[in-house]
Amino acid sequence: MKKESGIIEIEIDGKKTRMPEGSSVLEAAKELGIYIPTLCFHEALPPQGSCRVCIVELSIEKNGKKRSWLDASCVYPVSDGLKVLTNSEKVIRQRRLILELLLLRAPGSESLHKLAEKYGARTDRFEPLDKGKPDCILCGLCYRVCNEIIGAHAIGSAYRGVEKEVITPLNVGSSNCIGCRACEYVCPTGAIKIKETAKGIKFERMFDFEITMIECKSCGRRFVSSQYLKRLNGKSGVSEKIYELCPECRRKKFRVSSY
Amino acid sequence: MKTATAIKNIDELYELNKKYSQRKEKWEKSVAICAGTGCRANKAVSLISAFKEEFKKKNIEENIVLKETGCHGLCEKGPLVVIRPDNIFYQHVKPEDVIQIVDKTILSGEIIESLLYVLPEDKKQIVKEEEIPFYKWQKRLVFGQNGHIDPRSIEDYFGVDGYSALAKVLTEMTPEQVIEEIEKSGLRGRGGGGFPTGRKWRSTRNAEGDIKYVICNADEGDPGAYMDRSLLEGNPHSVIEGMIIGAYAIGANQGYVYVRNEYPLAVENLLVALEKAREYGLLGENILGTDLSFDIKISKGGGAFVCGESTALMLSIEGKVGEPRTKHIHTSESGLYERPTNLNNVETWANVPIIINRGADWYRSIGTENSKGTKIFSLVGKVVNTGLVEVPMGITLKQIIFDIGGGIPGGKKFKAVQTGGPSGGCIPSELLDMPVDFDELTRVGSMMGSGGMIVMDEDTCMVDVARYFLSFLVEESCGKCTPCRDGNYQLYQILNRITEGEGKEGDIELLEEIAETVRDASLCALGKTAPNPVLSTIRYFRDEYEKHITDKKCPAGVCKNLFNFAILEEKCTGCMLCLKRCPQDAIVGERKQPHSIIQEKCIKCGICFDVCRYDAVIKV
Repeated sequence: MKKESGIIEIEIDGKKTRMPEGSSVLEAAKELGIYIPTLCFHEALPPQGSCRVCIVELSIEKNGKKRSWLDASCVYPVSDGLKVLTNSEKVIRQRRLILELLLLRAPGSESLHKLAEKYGARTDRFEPLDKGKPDCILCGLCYRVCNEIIGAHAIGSAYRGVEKEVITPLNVGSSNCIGCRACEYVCPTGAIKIKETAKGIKFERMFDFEITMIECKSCGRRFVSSQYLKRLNGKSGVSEKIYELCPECRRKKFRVSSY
Repeated sequence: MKTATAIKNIDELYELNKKYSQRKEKWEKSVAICAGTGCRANKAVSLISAFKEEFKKKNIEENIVLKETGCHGLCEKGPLVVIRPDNIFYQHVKPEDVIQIVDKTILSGEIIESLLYVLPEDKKQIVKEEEIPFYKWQKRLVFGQNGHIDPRSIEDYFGVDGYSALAKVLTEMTPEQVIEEIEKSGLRGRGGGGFPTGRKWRSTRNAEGDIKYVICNADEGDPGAYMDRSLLEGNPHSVIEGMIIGAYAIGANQGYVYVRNEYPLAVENLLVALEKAREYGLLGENILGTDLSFDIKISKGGGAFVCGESTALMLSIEGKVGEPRTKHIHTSESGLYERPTNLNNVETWANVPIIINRGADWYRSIGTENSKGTKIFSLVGKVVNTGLVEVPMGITLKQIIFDIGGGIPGGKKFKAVQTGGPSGGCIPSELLDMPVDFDELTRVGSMMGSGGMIVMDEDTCMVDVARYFLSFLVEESCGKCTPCRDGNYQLYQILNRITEGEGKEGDIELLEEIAETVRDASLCALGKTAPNPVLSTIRYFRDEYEKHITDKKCPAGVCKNLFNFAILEEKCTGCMLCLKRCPQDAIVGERKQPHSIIQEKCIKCGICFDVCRYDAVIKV
């Protein structure tokens, strides 16, 4: 069979598939319907391979010699002749340990417990960890989405190693935050929780500050911050008047007018 | 803009080589004073001023030249002074010795015996530098000029054929031929990984893109290692020349030296060297009148160990957080500012001019099958001759530690040597006869790393050593990936527990399990190699771990909770010295009667052990 340029043949758990060059092993597994757990991966952001939960066993045969190793499937690119095992004994054993280490950071995370259970990860082999913020596993998604997608630069990482933390600048409330809640949305463990207050929204955990929200002109619900509107300014190409209404009222108004 | 001193063509450079090499012959004598970091800490700076003053007084400045050089290597004996052409070697020289040295040795040719090196075994004095065993067994290719030239004088470097390799490359070789020569030489990266340098250069050359970078990694951060620092301090032009040759071969116009801010002298000497090289037209537009244009910037790092990791280093140069990224996209294709980038360490760059000048075939003749040339090690710890040594690959550990290093001080027994920096492994005495090269060190569970070599004697506790290195790595982990950030911390916690006497059955197995995952699943080389100290000490000193855990004893007498001090009745003379010195009043006894220690009061400060002249205080 003639090889198409830019197309890579790869075998995962005994199943073969063809992927465009530059795809990751994780993407190829998805194509094949093979599940690989992930925590620090999000479609909105380029993969970074930091949590290491998605490790797989890779092997390649060259000149009769087989070399095998572990790597994170979210960042490892497919290549011709690459064979992948997503659930080998070694992968399961090491994934379990990684999950145990993460559980020490996020003992209160329901989603992490669910995943940990699947791999038989326990919490009783180590002393509780007195580092970091409650339930934050330092996956990096929150500050990456804030910096790379939203562009607000309201939060970032600070310190190093086991002391690393996600903080607002100088650990005081962030004036850059636009209250978009994207960080809360991407957080895989539920470490970031935001509640609605009389004036707007407030971080319940991770950070300690409040964002004032503007009332909807129609129903009075506080739904958006002025910083958010400022950021949208002109970008959407629709009348700014539309943002005076909350999403529900907006929908109602336009539904009536379009029928 | 070209300066007036800029060298216009290759012939002019050769003229300079000739001129400054002949200049040496006119000097009656030269006095080389080590002004490297080690000797500076021992007052080499005031020694230099004393010499200057005395030279002025005696009015001999014209004929006798004073050289403030970089590190000579034998730091243990510093400050060092070498008087040439006779190579008279003086050690531990103090400013008050200067008048005598000038009057006797320099002016009358007389040797001052009290300043000579003394052989420890038979107390024989040695006059000449090259006859001292420390130097005799070395092969100082890269480090050779360090004791001869003033690092701030480009003229000195011209005088030792400086920049002639660059001239050769620009006139006689195509970039392709340069790469072939480096490939053929078998040079492998001296920063730790040991990747073939020529292959790296070739992939960067072949990578698509019109802007390419070369980087010199001078982020040496291993505890106790200072070879890159000493090279930059003592012979910066050799690194610069290597980088220009690399830039020509690869097709780069911009270079960076990433050096840590804690190396002020290296930064200073490098800055001077760069400025001089620019002045002579060796950096900038149309180097030596050719089409090559290239310049070097210094990027100062904050001293994070992880920034020695190439991907973190490049992010740091860009002004971003120095956290490594996954290396599946090769740096040679997308490195600094997402451009093709070639990164080599200080020592690797300094090897380049030597290979070009003396040829790949000659270079290949030194070393072992897969590790060619020499390697500089910083030999530290429990060894007589602490210092920097350069040896051919394939030399045995025994030769380095005993023949060059002079063995273990105080008649103690050798226990282990840790190579490769904090994330290297500990090699036991059974393996002292192994040849030192990239592959052998990896095979025994350690690594070459950038060339740290820490010697340990029988008083060292191997569990405590593993704990110490892990504490360093926990501190220096960037915290990006889980295994390195949290796995290493757990390793450290368990080791800490064991050394405090809280070890549990199953701890060794748990250490091994965590270490496996940290090694296999970490993102970068810092994490992947971090468990080496744990794994290698378990591999070679498992019984020591077991004694800590099961018997609650530290055989080396290091872990305070796991041994007691006791007084041997038959040896104790009742001199009362320990009793008087004990800060806790934990020692009781009458004069001329054997003393004893009240264990409940003892805080194990070790003062009694240190002060006893009769070896009556022991650790049990």
